[in-house]
Amino acid sequence: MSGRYSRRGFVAAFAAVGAVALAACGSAPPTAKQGGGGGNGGSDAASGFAKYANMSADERQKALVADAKKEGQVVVYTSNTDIDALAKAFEAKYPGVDVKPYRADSETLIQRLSQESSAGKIANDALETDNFEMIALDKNGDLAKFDSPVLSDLPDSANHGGWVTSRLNTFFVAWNTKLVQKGGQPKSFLDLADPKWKGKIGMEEGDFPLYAGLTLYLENQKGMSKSDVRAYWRKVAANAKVVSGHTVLEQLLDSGEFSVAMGLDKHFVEQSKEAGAPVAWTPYVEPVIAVPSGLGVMKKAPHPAAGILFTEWLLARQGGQEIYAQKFRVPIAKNVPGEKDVLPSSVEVVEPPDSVFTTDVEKWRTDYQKLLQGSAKVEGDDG
Amino acid sequence: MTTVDRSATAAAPAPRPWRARVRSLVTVRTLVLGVACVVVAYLAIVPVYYLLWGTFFDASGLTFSGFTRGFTGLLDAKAMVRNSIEFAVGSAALSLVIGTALAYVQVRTDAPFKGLFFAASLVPIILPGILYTVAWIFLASPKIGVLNDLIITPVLGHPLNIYSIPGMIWVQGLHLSPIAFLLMASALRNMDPSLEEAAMVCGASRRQLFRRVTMPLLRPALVAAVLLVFLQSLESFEVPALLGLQSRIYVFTSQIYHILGYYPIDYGAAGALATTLLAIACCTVLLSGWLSRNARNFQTISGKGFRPRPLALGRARPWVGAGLTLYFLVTVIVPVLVLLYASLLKFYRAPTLEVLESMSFANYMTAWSSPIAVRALRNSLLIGVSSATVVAALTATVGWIIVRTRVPGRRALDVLATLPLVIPGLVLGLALSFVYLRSSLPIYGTLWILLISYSTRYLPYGMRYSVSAIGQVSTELEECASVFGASWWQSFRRVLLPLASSGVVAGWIYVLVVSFRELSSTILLYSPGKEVLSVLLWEQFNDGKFEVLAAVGVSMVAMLLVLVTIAYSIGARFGAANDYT
Repeated sequence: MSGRYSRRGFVAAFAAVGAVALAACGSAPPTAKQGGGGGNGGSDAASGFAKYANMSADERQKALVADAKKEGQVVVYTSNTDIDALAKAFEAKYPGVDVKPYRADSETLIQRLSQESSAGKIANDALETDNFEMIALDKNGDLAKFDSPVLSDLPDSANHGGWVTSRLNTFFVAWNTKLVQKGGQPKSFLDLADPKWKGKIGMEEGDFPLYAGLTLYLENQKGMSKSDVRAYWRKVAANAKVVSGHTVLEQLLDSGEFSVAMGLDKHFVEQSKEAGAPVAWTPYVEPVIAVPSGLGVMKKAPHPAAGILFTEWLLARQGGQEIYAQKFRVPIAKNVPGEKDVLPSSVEVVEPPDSVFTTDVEKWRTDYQKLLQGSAKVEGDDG
Repeated sequence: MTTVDRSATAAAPAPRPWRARVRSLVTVRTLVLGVACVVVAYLAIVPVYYLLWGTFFDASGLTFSGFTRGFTGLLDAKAMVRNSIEFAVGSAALSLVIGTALAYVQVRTDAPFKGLFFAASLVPIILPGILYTVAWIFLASPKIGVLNDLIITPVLGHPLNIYSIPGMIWVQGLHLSPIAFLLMASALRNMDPSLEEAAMVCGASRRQLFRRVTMPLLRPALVAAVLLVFLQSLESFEVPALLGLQSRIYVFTSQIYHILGYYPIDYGAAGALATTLLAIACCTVLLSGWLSRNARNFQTISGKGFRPRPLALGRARPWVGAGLTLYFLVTVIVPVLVLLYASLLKFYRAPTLEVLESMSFANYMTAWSSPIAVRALRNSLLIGVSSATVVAALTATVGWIIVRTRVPGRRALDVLATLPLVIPGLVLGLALSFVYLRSSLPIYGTLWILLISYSTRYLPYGMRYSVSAIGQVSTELEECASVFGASWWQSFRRVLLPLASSGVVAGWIYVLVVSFRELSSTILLYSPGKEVLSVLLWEQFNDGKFEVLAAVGVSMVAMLLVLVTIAYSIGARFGAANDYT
């Protein structure tokens, strides 16, 4: 039967396969380490903010709004899941400027941005995600320098050049009030090393900023020796079970799988408490490790005015910051109307230094991974 | 007697002019087959090429350092490989046993409630992996498991621990059993019972019949089912992440996703692990091809008409019905009930009277009032149906080449078409965005790129379903058609496809169902305005609203069950399946 069918057709087809494949994949292959080639020429770089630089406040606002309305839309790449509420409020304030969000987790966001940047086809105007990705993109040269008058209302530490902190992610230690009696909750991080917590602590597998921030705090502020700190972490890891994802961690804490969760952001615990879950986190276990989330405007934004208008609105006390507070996030601005459970100024808040996310990131990640995997040896350990 | 001088008459045939040659090349058959091959090969080559390039080449040229980094980044690479293989083999075995048993009862016996059982068999694959796994955590966790508290601990004295390899095998095996079920059901449906009847006439007992006639005839389908479940378990992420991590059980994908989660991505290391999976996939496909050799032995649809008689269960009928009900209760109904229960609460806790009073549909309102919900549903339907159809069409055609011809390279095409199964979704997404960002065609940023992504991702499933189904149709039917003057296209379309339809339709249904929850490549490739349902799922998951996520999951089950029932009844109308079941 098979002899009746011509081979030549198939051979031709297969040859075509090779040709098409080569044509399709003919462009330069990916290199092992991705680094986008962002802002060459900087034609739009300064012009975004520069255009409005020398105007008075009123003039500037009028011009921005007019230009944004002409552009008609702002494309936002964000890992903030409150984007729908933010978009609704923004569109109510500035009708005519539609918000078009692309939501993804921060790791996917930066992959997409790198791909688009290296192909020279930037599709978004504004960006809001975690500090790690913002730092990386700024280094690549994809972000415009955030030269805006709204910065004067924010703490100095919020200005990072190409990006601005918009809110803080606070890692609380939270406990299940049904399983942990009043007075029996952990009073400090060091309590978690106690063997009475064996099998009762939940940790999240990606929380190396918490690990780094607390380690540096214990070594530098509390003067503990490196080996004491490592011994402490080993005891905690022996007590802990690892989960993937903060939602799952919260779920398992609420339902009683864990008694204590190490590293849940304010919005997770507040949401749960509002729904009636038996979860508590005050009195705060100090220090509260805080990692900033930031925003920025792309150098080659297709709609620069709309991008600037949107990001400035996000930083405004009665704009985006108020929505953040409503959604139980920690806004960067002070005295935001409607903020619940504001962190008292007496509570010590520690932000891990930038080096944790740039030069030393590999070391912290690997150390944390080894700790979670149950290794007795962490880099540099002599014992 | 004169001898005829043959040499003068037996002249060599004149060489055909080139125009005639070309004309003979360009036939409908060549075009259809050629185009299908080209498209399938192109779809599969793009991500494989991207992956291999990233693994073996870096800024300094050819390198194998990725393997060192990928395998020594862990504490115990040997344990990782051992866990992965144990997990994959265990779930493949469990799926196969469950799927085959269910398929046999469904197709070949007169068990009661067949429609319901068919639907229930598919539910595990409709639910997103994360929901199904968390439902099982709520049931069988040693601390909070409801099943443990109510039944297991009183009876056995100690709770079941879902956070273990047997626990992982149980959940994954159940979750993937519909793959085996669909494949085996379509294979059983197409089996000519005259062989079994002959064996019974010759005195074979039911057990002998099953072991020595039925199972061997089903070998290609069995092999295909094992291959799919085995490879998918190797590539699976949710079950090992949710159940294995807590007990420090690591598998290939735990490590791959770990590496892929960091920017800048170490393509060498992630690629080295993924390439190992690719190599395992190649070997498995080649092995399955070898096991399904001697194609003629498995052709059960032949020129002789047949009407299989369902096995009368007689007195066993109520027992079988009860057994099936118990099985579905435990594996399908209870987990879905757990999710339904969770979806009606503001936060999950054990049921009490006051909890029951506080139940409401608030989570459903929240989920479906999201601005992207309706658009996402519409896009998911569109892309799901399109990619299922594209995959079915392509794989039926290429499947014909693989099964019917002896063209050199068809095994390679088979292997190539199966490789996307083990390529991590993010790598597929990266490959596609890399290629289409640089193309001038309006593909990136539209729904087309999602169509391409889903078609690539589900090609392997379509291949297995189609190849298995076509393998059951005897060649004599198509030969008969061409004796009567049918062209290739006519015999393909009007003889082969209807006969192989139960397998092809099963593949179509499968691709439609799983495309609704595909996330790993979708999240990278979709654009504002082009959201699909899995993005909605992801959003709820990421935001911490598990109960809303459960609401979306339950809605999906309801919607997809309706879709599948419609699809199945339409498909059954075109094939040989409408005579029975």
